[in-house]
Amino acid sequence: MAVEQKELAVGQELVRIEDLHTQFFTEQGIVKAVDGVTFSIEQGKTLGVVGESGCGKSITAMSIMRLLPEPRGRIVKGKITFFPPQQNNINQTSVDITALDRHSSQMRGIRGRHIAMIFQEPMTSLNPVYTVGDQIIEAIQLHQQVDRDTARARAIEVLEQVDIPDPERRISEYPHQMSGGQRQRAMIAMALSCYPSLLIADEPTTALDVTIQAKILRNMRDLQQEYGMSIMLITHDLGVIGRMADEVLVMYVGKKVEQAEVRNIFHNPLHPYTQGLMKSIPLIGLKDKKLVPITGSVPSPFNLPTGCYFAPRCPQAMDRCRREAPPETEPEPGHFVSCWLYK
Amino acid sequence: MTNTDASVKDTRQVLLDVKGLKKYFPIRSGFFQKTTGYVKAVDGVDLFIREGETLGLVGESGCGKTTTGRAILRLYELTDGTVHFRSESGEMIDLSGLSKDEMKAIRREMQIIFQDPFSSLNPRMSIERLIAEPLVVHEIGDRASRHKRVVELLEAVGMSGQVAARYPHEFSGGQRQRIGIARALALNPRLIICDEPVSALDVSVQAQVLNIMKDLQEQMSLTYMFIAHDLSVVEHISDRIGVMYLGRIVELTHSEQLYQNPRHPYTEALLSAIPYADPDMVQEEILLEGNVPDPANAPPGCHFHPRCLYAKPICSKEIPQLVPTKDNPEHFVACHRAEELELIPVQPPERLLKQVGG
Repeated sequence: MAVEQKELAVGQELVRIEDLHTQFFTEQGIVKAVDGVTFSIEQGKTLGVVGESGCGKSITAMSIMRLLPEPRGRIVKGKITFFPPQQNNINQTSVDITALDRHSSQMRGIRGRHIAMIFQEPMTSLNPVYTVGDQIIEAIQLHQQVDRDTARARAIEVLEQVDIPDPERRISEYPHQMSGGQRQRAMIAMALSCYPSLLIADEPTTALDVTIQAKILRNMRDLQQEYGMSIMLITHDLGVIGRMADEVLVMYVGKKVEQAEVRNIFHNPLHPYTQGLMKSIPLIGLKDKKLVPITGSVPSPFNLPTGCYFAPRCPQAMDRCRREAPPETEPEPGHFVSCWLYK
Repeated sequence: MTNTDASVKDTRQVLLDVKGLKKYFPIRSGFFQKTTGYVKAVDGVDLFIREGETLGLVGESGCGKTTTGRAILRLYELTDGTVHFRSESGEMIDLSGLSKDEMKAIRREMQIIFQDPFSSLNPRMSIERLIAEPLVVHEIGDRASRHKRVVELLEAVGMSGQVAARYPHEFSGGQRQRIGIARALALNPRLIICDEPVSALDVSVQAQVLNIMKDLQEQMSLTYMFIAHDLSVVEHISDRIGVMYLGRIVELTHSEQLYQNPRHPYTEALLSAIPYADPDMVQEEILLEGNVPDPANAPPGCHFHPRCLYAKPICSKEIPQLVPTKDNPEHFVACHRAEELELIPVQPPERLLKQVGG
């Protein structure tokens, strides 16, 4: 097959995000959508990113993809380093994505080719006037020197991999001819067509029914096993996180508040916000579980509290929390938290 | 809520009794807008709700759960079936036969809460006017007494009476949903149909609204019909749950029974598909073939048979009736093979059970 595959080494750093600040410049003022976030994505692993609406999880993803509506929204500080996986045993040089022109051929070579993204609403990435097949073939030919027949064969192959029945026929269908779940899968197929090393999935199943969601999640896991790609899975659904993630990052108002291996996040959450999330979800079979909601609501980005942003809602807030923002600490190996309780 | 022993007869009176409810929407096409078919959104639903209980209604998009709720309130004209409601005098009134005026009077006792707190509140009306509107429509009280009532209702949903002068855009989703609840409570209803009331909310806020709904139910002895697609939420709040598939109820029983002893293959698949928020959960998803069929062109016999793992020839021929199982008169299933199948229940991780128990 003419389409080359990359060699992925599970556990190796693939993308490193350091002190990322992404801001939006609006008429009402500056919105610090991502406010100093640091983390890494490892090869072959799934990083779950959770948080409520407005916490900056999607903007972090858009920053990595360089898909921000610049200059209104832009990266003002920080570094996003992409370490391309080895090819033919040759180490590739790392790239600082923030230093690239977002329209440059180098960035376009990374976007879609090495890092692909899928969205909640598939119609944001599928063009209604082209067939699904044409769009996938275009994506393949954009990034790889292959002829149309090879690209078409590859398109059929990926459609089959995402469980679209009868892919040879469906390839010439338009997006509107497919159901919501199938469109979502066609979009995943398009994202996978170039064997990306990282798939960023932003609420990929939120708009779908649970039985369809189960199929798509299973699909993503199978494909990850096959290709060894990394997944950055952005969702507000802790169930999806529990089922899919290896590592979890919890965000609150533009900041990372906690990061740990998935079991630690669920069984030993350290940050009061993460603890609050765990206490507020109902679980089947645990009717007697008393839901303890987090009081109050997320602060307005134009009127942020001083100190820790969570302090006004935090049941354990101390004086210091209202004065100073907490630094990140590592109370146990691999478990990071930004909270004065652990300082 | 101790209904684990399902054999204990629930002696509470039935407040709402729905039989054979059908709602078909005509499909019109051509120059003369001739009716060429029907979307059978609700195709023969039987259910009852006892006073003070919460009946959950779950199902995936297009299953007819929302239409069922609205048809009960007669926000849609019924195609067929009866809806009996116990009036305050204790008599069962058939809503399907009532005139507009009679229906208006009885609607005081039946209210609805909608999913989207952003579009269900008129942005040009102050919170005071929004909450007092039902009182005005039904000509109850004067200005002063209505204001008193508004403050009372806002406090009941955990908000300050001072917000009455403000407008919807000043509030977050969770607060707006609470305003929606306050408005629904204005007329002291006995039945509230809650249509996906927490689906648009973030998890932490969702818990606030669920807790308020539970508290209000106790304080005001409300009866809820809780419609949602999220089975974890429905299980948390409901005493009994009905599972809908393509216009029909396929299983209806006490919520513990539903996940401990599912008897319909669709319920089993639905339970297995819900991602459980705990990495210790051992879950083998049952992946259904294909998609939910078009309700305008539903398969014959059991609507679920083309996707069912256990289908037999009879399933594509005869419509299974919603009947009680042999061992539990409160467990209704519409499946030809309900008595013989052994389906997989949900077994929460030990660790979580211990936490809740202790």
